[in-house]
Amino acid sequence: MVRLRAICLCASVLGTALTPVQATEFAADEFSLKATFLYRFAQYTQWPPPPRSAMRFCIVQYPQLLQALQRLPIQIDAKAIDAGPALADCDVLMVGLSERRALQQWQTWLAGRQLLIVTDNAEAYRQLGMIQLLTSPDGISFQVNLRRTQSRQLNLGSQLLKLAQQVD
Amino acid sequence: MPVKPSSVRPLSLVSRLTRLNLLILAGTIFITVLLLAAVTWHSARERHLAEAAVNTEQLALNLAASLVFLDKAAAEAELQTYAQRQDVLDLAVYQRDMQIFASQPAKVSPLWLQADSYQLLDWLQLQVRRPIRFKAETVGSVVVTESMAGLQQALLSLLLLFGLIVILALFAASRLLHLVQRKALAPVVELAELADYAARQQDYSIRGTVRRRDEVGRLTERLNELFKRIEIWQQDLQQQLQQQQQARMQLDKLAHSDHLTGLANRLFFETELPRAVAYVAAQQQTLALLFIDLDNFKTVNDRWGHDAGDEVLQIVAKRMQSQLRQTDRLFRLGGDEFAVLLTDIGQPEWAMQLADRLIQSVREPMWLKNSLMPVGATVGLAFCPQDSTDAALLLQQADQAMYQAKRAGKNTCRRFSDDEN
Repeated sequence: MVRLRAICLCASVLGTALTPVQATEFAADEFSLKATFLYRFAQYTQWPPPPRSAMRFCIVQYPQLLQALQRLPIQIDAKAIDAGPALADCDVLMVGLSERRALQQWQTWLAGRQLLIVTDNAEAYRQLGMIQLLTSPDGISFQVNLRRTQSRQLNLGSQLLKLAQQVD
Repeated sequence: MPVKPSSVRPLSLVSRLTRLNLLILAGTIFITVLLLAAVTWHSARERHLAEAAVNTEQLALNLAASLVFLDKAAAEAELQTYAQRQDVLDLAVYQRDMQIFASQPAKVSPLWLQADSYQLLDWLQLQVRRPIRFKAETVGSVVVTESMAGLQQALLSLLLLFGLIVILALFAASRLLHLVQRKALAPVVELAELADYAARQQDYSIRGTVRRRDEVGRLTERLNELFKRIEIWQQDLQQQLQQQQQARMQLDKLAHSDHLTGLANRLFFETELPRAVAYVAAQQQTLALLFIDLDNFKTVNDRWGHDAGDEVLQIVAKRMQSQLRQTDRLFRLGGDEFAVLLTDIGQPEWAMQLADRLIQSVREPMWLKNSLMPVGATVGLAFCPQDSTDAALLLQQADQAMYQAKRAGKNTCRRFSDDEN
């Protein structure tokens, strides 16, 4: 119940033209909330030059989140990818897989790339994640691996870090 | 020219001027303080509002992430921190749909205005609303309501302190004003004392000292001139009065004394007899009236002339006067008639003895123009209250007694007796 209210809140604070009907449609969708958080993470993150003209969200094995991103009332450039070469024009990577071997493969592909990597499972966060979304009865929170973001020359906003449940 | 030494002492003029100056000073300070307080209060409120607006902007910035990530706990912690500021009444974070996301305390003031951003104040409170923006996107708003009681209290404390300082300053100013005005008004006070002294003592010989050639100096000069004129007038008047008094005394003497013998005359006798009768009656004493008529005086006038007669009268007067006490009074009633008033004689016989002595003194040999003057004296006596207590009757009785003595032979005396009449 608390989580549902949190989802409603999220929907109401996001975007500029959400109507009550649209909010109701999003209400039961946890993925929408995660999509919103993903969008906000990108807003609080600063990439090294040159500046990005448009932000691209790449989703790995997480079709529900891709759909949720596409349903947000703002225009978001999001696509699903399944291999390393597609990472070339990605800024934010949402990893849905949790298989260790696959993650190791992605780790190889991601070497040296300046991407913001977000996941909602512990294994992916342990191997290559910078931010992990945590779901609890009270709602959604997140933790941050600051060393990884710094190693990829990304700067997370202090407000974001202040709200993180844990910063490693 | 004597000048009265000045001793300046506080007079009503100094006190009145001091009071007036203090009143004006206090009034001016009071109005100034009121105006300053009003201006200070107005500017302080505006400044307070401006500061609240800036702080609310900052709070909105701080709250953006909490609102974006729906972190109510973080938002409330932020609000709690902010609420520790003095004068903050309540805080509220609204989402875009005007639902309260977080607040401190739970119940908050209603919105004063339906606008996204405003800053308003009334007499004791202010309210600021600012949108919470994130990347050019308005995600909600924060509303801060603050009390201005602290500001008001601070201003009142300042006013109280200022009031105490003003009271102390006014007290010091009153002492200083009193001293300064007493010094400044010293010539005027001195002049007033001078006039007061002159009026009280009727002494217009005093003069004021001209210290400066200012208004007071000119006033002193005019007063000195006035005193000088009055002094001259006073001297003239005194001289005239003395002359008049001398003239009056001469007239009085002429009216009441006999110019030939220098004795009191009949007019004076007619005044003194009733007075003496009334006095002895009141004091229960005895008054003797001796009526004296010279014997052979007509012969002296006829034979040796009036000059000799006048001289005889003068000698007789001296001789009789020499027989009397200081309290006895001798009158020349006219011609060769004399009278003596003896008060408090004790025994009537003493008056009879005196009459005999008077007769003997007159009968002493008197040589004029190589001739022995054949003058003598006959005396009639009457006593008050034994014979009468009426002055006219007493005189009549003495006169009758004198005629009885004349009939009995000259150079003798008789006491009034009803039997012989």
